[in-house]
Amino acid sequence: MSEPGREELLHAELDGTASAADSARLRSLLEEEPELAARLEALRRASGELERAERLEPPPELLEGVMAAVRERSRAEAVRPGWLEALRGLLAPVPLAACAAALLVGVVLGVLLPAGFGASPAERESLSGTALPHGRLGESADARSVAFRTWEVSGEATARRAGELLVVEVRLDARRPLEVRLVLDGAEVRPRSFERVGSGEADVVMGRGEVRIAHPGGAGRYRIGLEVGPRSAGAVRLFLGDRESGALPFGRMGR
Amino acid sequence: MSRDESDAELARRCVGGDPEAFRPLVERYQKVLYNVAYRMVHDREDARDLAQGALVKAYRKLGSFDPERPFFSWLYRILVNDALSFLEKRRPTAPLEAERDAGAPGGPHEELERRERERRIQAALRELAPDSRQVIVLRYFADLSYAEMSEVLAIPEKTVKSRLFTARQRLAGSLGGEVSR
Repeated sequence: MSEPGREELLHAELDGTASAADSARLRSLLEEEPELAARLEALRRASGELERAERLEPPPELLEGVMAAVRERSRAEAVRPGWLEALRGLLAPVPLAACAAALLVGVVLGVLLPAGFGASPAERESLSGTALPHGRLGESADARSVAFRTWEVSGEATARRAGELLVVEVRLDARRPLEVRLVLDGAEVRPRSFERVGSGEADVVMGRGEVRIAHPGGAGRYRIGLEVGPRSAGAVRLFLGDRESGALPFGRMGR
Repeated sequence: MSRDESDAELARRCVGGDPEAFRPLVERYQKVLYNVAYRMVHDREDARDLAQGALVKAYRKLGSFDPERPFFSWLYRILVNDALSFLEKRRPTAPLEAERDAGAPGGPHEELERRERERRIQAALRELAPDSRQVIVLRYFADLSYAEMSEVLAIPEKTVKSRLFTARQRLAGSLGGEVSR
């Protein structure tokens, strides 16, 4: 490791971070160079002034003002229940054994029921968990995409319409945990299903008019199936944290 | 509530729907935030508004707080960014608050000395460019290390040191030479 320069020695001395060897070296330099000693003295005086400066007590209204704003926000969120709480509320009354039983029934039905039961082929294709076939779906789809990049997150969201199904796919890579929100603008738009790819820990809540994803950070891909009426047109607005990061418009069928 | 409940634990409770868990966080950090803001903008009312704004913003953004990182550096970053935006918008002709400050405790001599020191410090800080001022304020009024300042300001530690050294040198000119005691 190289020796610290004089400047660094002076400031390390001021900050109390100089090693014993550096302090000894500085003392030797100070004896040889009176101007360096004068500089250190001036720096010490200035530092001392700042250290003795008054520390003000915050006014009492600061704490109360913050807590009033916090409670207000909390009440507003209670009107539209906090989504994590809502999820807990939904799951809390359901015993674990019932969840396991429901899962088992689902698996058995999945094996026994004939292919094509319930969902349309396009719907099954896009929601089954296999890769979305760009070419095949793209031919009949009204596809839009929006890319986003900040220092915290980058990625892309794409929407493809196939009949009465709108599939929104969000791919992102985030440095930190991040809430992703899809706000559904337009009549007759209802969340139908979702799929997580490589983001198993993420909580996804599909509510009326919006879908919320608690992305845990890192790379992730989410595919959301939305049911849209044949005459419905509108947009899916994408929010990353508090910030709106783009919109994915979709049109009516049969234009 | 445990007295030494960690910042991350309190933040987690807030996100989980307990807004009162935010109170200890405010109590813990309001003094530093207020003093940092005051030394940045030199006005107590503006400092109160900035500190309050930063805390409310932090509460709103708690969902994006990474509990693996220190809460205070995340919080200070919000404040410092807001203070810099505030300084950019404000006209640079606001009077020094120390000049109109009055009524602090202490005898007449101590009071005069205190006011004179405050006037000198505020005048010296005002002479610094905002990015130099913020490193001085974080070092002396938030007691942050180089590494912590680097985290708060999102700049390399080397840049922190360079800014701090330059700022101190300027302060030595305005504060260091005037004191004979």
